[in-house]
Amino acid sequence: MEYIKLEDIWKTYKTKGVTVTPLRGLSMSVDKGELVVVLGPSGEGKTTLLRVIAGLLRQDKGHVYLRGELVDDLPPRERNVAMVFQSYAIYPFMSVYDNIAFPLKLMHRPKQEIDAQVKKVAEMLRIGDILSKKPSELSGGQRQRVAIAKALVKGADILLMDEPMANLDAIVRVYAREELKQLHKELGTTIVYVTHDQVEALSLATKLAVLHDGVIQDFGDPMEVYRRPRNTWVASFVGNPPMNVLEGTVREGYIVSKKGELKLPLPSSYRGSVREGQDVTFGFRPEDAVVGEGDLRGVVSMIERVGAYTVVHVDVGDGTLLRVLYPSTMQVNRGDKVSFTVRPGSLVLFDPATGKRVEAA
Amino acid sequence: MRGRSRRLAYKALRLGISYLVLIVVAIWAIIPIYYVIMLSFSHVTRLLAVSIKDLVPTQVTLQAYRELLFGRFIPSIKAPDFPLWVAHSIMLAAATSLLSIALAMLAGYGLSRLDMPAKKTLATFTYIITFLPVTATTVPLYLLFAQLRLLNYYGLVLAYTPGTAVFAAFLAKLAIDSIPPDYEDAAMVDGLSRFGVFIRIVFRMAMPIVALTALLGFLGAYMDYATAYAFIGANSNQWTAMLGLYYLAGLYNYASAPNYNIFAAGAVLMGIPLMALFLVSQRMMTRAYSSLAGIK
Repeated sequence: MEYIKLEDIWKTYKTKGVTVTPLRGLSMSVDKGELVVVLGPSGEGKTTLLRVIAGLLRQDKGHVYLRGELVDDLPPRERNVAMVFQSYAIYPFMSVYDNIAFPLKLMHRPKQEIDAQVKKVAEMLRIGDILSKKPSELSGGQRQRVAIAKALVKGADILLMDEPMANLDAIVRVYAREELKQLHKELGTTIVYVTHDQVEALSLATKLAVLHDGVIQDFGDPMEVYRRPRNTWVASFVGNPPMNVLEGTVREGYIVSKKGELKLPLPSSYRGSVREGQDVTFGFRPEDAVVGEGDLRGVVSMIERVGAYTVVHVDVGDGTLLRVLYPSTMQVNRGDKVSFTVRPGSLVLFDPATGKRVEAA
Repeated sequence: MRGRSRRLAYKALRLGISYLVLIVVAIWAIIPIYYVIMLSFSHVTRLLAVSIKDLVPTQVTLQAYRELLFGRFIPSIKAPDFPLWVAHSIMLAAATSLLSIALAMLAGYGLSRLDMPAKKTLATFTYIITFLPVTATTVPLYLLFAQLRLLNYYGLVLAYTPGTAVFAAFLAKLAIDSIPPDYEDAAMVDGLSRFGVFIRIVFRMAMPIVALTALLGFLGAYMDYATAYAFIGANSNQWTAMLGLYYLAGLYNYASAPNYNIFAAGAVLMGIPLMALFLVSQRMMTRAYSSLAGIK
């Protein structure tokens, strides 16, 4: 069932004399129990989107539905949602216990119930031993867990998270991610999680939403979005390193790139959807280029050693650079001549005029 | 070896001089207070009779206090005057204090959080207005409140409050500017209305400013003479402690004024609530600052 539904949301606001419209007719639908990650570049409306769902911001046009009901006129406290902020927003003048208990206290629950709930949530997040401390005495990771505990204690079944891991160290982040996934599995909460971190998005999401230009560009299973992006912008944004996207033309069963000397066989699945001589934009992921054999040629121009693998930028003529992945053990130097081929099933075609993906026939 | 001992000598000299200066200034500041306290415990009856030798008292007596607390200075009033006057003062000052806090915090919150046109101009204007000397406003206020028929306690509180509230609103704006809005957003999702957030979260986090406003409001009303005299000087049964003290010092009518040591006793007693208030608000402010300081 469509648990969270956004219909044609528009939001404009003025800051310091400049008018910005981060949301332009955005529509999105989240099913119950999904962990939807909204991925997008910084400053493009992810936080605005979350605040519209929570009710902290009122959209200019469009409707928000929670659990099937229209909630446009409801203030945040009546929407029964919970939210975790990037800065955690833990009240500094209250102890950890009081912070977590606060939402329940506002609902005037009996003291025993509050106590039981707080202890239960604290146990779940392994912060049962710091309940009496003040926020200023905690580490970043502990504060984050307090923020999550505070959000979960209400028992709300919709959780909104605004880049909660951005302020954590890289190592702590990995654990925090795993814990969140566990929590999601145990509780079945519907989560909308906003981030600009690719790795986080792909590893956490049960469904991925890509936000750009005020609308959701692509929505679906994370690996689906990764391998078959809906348009060229998503193709070049999602994944690190991003997809190689080039212009080309269909000629005699091949796709010939306009710049450079690339000639790739047209996959059979596309044979019915494109005509001879048609211009087409095509893309393939760096890891789908098989190095060492094949008809494609190039010269190594730049090398990025990431550790687990190596990203090699290959010049295929006319200054066109492609990224391919090498195993980290393989030797490669600038100026090396390489030959490679592209796995046929990994090619994605796009319409050069609209940028949208071309469907296989 | 000689160089080091010379350097130490210089250091000791500098330290000695600083201490000396500090002690002199401290004595200079304390002597008037000490003098008044001594006078309140002595037999001196006339201002002209006061001399240097009264600095070191030969006799200590509570006569002044007895006369002060139980005496009747204004013939028309049945009860002892001084306690009544102090009660009036505290009442007025407390009311001013509370009203100032309410106005200043509300205005400060609006100036900080809401998006208004010409907001910066308003804030700067507010700040500049406070540079005007308060006494210059006494006559206009009298004329204004006479027309409004509010030459009484209500009018007085209304006249005192803006003096504090305007300056405090500016300070409150600055304080609230430094509170990240995330706390308010979180509180609204937790279940508070916007007003609830204002009262329970913003007030708590801006506590130093609340304490300062309370102090300034109380002080302004408690210590005021000119405006109080203009408004209620005519009704001696409504007098505040300041009005009463000026009477006791013989400033209304030298001949009918009572003894000077009674005035001194009155001044000392008036100072006690003020001292208590200063101590309390100082503690509140330092505690608030230290609890907020630990956030990364």
